[in-house]
Amino acid sequence: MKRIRRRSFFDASARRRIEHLFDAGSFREFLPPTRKRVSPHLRHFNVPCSFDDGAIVGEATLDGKRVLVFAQEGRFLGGALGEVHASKIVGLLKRAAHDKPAAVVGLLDSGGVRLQEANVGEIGATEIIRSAFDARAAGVRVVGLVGGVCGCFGGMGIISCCLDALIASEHGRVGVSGPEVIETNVGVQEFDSRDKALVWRTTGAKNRYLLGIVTKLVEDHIPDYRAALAEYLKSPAPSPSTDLAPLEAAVGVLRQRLDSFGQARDAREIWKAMGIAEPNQVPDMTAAEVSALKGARS
Amino acid sequence: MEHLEFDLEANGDGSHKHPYAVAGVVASSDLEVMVERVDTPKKCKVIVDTAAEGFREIWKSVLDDCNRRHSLAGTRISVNDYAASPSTVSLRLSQAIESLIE
Repeated sequence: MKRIRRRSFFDASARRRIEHLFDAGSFREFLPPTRKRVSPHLRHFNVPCSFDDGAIVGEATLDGKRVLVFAQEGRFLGGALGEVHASKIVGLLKRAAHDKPAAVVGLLDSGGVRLQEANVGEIGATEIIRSAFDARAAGVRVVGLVGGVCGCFGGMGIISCCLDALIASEHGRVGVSGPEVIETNVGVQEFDSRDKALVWRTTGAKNRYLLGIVTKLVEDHIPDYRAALAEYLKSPAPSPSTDLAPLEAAVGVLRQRLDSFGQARDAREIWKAMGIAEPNQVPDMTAAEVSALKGARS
Repeated sequence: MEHLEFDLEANGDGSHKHPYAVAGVVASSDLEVMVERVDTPKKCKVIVDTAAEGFREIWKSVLDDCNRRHSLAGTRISVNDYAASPSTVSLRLSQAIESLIE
């Protein structure tokens, strides 16, 4: 790693990520913090609110192309989906289905549904899924960027798999149940959440990329995310199908993954089974080196 | 949670470039500061919601110090605090005010 000046996606706040990801000065926020649309629930739990409820929504341009944007602030209550937070994202996706921007870009950073607002948060998660599918059915690409402090877990992990593409750095952990949840429910022999190297190998974006869940792997550098996003937007828009055949094909992929790797105790065993020559070296590789591995196999 | 309000006599001509600016995040030991441009010549209202109760005097001291160092006339400052230290509060106030000007 010879980069002298790194603009880390991981370290930046959600607002700072937006500022450096899109064309300079192009972001216009909907429901800005001055409107103070804070959570109506948190005060009952003696928990402080945030003026944007941890979700920033608006529009910006990327190389002149208009996109709609949402960004989750992972450091506010774990980026969790509360009622206002989720509603802002749903509203943005509904708007996208209506006014057809070049894409919806979601900067995902969330541990899932907010505990203090569990019921409305769960409903919010399902509404995000439905509105993301509606936007995609209307021909609008919905792209997720992952690589923040919380990764993408719980309901947000499910949402991340309902999008057209995911761009992530190694920090971009994606899953449904987090490591501590798995250990609590199934035991340490299943998953040792204190073994951080194991956790990152398993849930981190390198493994998720090699398994085909993450579309594009980048370094933790906001300009690299921007370049990957710009490149992705140049490709022809996919036309999602609701026919049975593609659904069965997708289920077939999942079944094959389980057949091939279901007995693996560690991501390194998965990589070995994939035919990667030096599976122990993968955690030390750059994003470009890991990407080349996949290119060599396919 | 404790709600505090302060009315500061402030200096400056209130000519800030942006309508509002935000600094910081409501994370543990941190805070969110929003500064807005408002039509209140010679005055600055500060509204604080904080998780750490019983620190009104310290808030007053930090805000008075900020008021001496910056031109706060014609602004309103809103704070969501998750038990940040006075030095962190001071830093976030300066960051938000400088973002409003530049």
